[in-house]
Amino acid sequence: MFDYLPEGISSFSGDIDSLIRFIYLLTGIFFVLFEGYLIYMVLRFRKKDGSKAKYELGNKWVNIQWVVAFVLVIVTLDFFIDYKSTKVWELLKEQVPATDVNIKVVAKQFDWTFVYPDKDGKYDTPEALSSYRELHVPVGKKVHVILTSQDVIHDFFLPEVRLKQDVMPGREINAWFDTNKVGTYHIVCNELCGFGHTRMLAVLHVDDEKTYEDWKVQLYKQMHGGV
Amino acid sequence: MSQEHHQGFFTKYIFSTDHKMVAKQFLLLALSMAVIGGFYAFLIRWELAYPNQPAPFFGVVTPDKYNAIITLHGTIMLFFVGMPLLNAFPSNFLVPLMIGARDMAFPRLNMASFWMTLLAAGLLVSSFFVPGGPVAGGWTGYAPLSASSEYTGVKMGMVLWIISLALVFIASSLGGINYLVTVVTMRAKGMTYSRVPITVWFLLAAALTFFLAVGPVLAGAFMLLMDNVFGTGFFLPGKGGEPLLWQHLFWFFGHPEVYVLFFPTLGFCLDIFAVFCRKPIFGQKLIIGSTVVAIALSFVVWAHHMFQTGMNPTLVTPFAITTILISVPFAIIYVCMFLTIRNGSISLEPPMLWALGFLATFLVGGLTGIFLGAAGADIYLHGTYFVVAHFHYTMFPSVFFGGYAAVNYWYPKMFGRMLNRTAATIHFVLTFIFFNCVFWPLFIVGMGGMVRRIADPSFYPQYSPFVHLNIFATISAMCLIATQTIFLWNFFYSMKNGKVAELNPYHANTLEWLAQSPPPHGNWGPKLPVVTSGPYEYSKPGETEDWHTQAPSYKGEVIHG
Repeated sequence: MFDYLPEGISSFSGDIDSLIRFIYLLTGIFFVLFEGYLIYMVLRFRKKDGSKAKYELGNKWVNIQWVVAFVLVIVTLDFFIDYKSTKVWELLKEQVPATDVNIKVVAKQFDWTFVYPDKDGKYDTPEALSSYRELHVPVGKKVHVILTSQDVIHDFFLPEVRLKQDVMPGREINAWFDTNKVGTYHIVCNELCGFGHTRMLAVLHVDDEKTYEDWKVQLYKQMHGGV
Repeated sequence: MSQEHHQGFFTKYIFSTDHKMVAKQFLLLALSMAVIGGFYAFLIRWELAYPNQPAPFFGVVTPDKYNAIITLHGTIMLFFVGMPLLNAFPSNFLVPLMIGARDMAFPRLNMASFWMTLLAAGLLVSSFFVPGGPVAGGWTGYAPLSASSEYTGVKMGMVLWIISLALVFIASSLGGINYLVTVVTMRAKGMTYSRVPITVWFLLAAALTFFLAVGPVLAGAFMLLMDNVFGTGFFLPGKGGEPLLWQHLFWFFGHPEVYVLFFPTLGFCLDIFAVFCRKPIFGQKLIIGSTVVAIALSFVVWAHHMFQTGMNPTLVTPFAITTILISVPFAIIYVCMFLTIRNGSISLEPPMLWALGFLATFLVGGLTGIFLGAAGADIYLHGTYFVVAHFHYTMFPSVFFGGYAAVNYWYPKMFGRMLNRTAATIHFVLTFIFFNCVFWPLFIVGMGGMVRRIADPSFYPQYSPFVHLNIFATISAMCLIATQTIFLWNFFYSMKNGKVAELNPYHANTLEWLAQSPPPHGNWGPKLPVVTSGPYEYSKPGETEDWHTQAPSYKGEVIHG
């Protein structure tokens, strides 16, 4: 089941993976028990000459108490799963912690543009940097992304980071992530957004501090003709 | 019967108000639309395994065509295969027969319901031939993509899609009212509510759920139509609208809708378990009570489809809790099904095989839902092939395993002949194997991060490690589709050439088995059956036979072998 799970590269990817593995374990136990019992019943209770089925209505407390007990087990496990899940959810989605880097992500059919603010934190000045289909972030830093769309709904999915967030037109959605491994990773659009949806990709570069700063200088030079 | 002889060809087969003929019309519609939906499934799988290579009988599946095909596959399978096969067909055929009525309360409404559904199906299919092509915004029709042709280039196709859906919503509501009124007012003497068979209960549960859920989505469809045709901006942020509004309206309907396609199958399976295990249903009242709870909860879980949309994140936890709680009534029903089989005397006839197959496969769909209901895990899994595998493990067993169970079980009553047992068994075994071979690998692919609704996986180098899994799933899907020809052959061949069926080939208790096969217009002889016992008096201690019909005093006019 986990043969192709991409390697996690954020501080919370381990939490999400362990939640998934925990649910896998619990549901796996139920899967084996139920399927096993179903097969057992079909083999054990086949029609035989001279034997009759048992007349059981299951309308008395004494009959259904085991059903109720079983359901209590399920409810307990359900809430345990929800408890674990809510912790991950709160960490990642409820609020954006203090971050080191802010980046505006602008989605439109069928492109990603990543805007880095100028010194005053503004995104619409000539000093702000615009990167097309390439998102560079410094390793180990918390990154605050402000997601907007100019047309339809897109979705900002970073599989290795384990972050997914829809990008809605008409509003700015705040999300955050961090990274702990230098490398090149994937960004895909995960919401059907039109005929070019399948090509709406971008690249996530997790750089060390120096490469990141060099890249920004380089990008500034490109944008401003080497000034 | 004398009434039958006065009917001409048109009143008997085309504009029929006889509930059994309407049922057969719905069944044929479902089977025909399933051929189209299945062909689209083949095209989808072809493109995923062999991107950009021309598909047989079609040609290259370009991204715009791909988007149209996935949209129509979903729409057709849910509204033009699932609903006719699981709701309209069995409700029409079984409700009057099982409660001992001569027809529906409103036979003309019934006919109207079928013709509206047929018109809706025609509009949907015709959208392939209009300028701009068919709808391509996904079966969920998320605005703004679906709200303006400037985003897709599809104008006419979108309008046809909305009108088609609105028609099918209205048609299904008309049918639903009819089933409800029929059960409330037309039960035979002695058919108290506690003696109404569980299939009828679940068909009513489905009709009621649909009826309660359909209003908001109908309003939403109207707004979407206005946005498309008159340029209003209900869902367009540029004009002050709100895209999330559509999703709320849609999923408020959409989640109960999946139970509309699930409840009937629970009913069929329980009836089939009772008959082929020769046992009463275990905990019938508990099951019905759980269903009521499930219906109520189904209206407060819709936002779990929207966890990653940017809706208020604090609202996610309550919806995650209701979602997880809805597993409780279904767990009760599941356990009661197991306890109905336990200590039984099982014969593995084809209907029983389908019902057991449903239990075995739907379990996977139910359990994998927990991954997605847990909001934290959903962050990663949402929108991947894990979701695709999950909902196909719920919808396919419900619609096809349940549908085949019903058709196999009631075929002798519908046509007076038996299906070929060997062919039916082979059909089940192959369908069961190939179904699992198609969708099990998709869990692994989805866990690998492959997202759904992309037309060209070759563009994603990160998916190259699981190309072989995709090819395996595609070949299995082709085998799965090919297997269905066994059923189609059996269905049509046995109609004329099958072994002549006894009135009650399974020794079942419920009333429909007392009627002639196939039942004549008006269903019963001069006197209606009088019910004296419950539907599941199987293997009662102290009785010589292991069954006991609900109306022992009923003598039909025609008695045959």
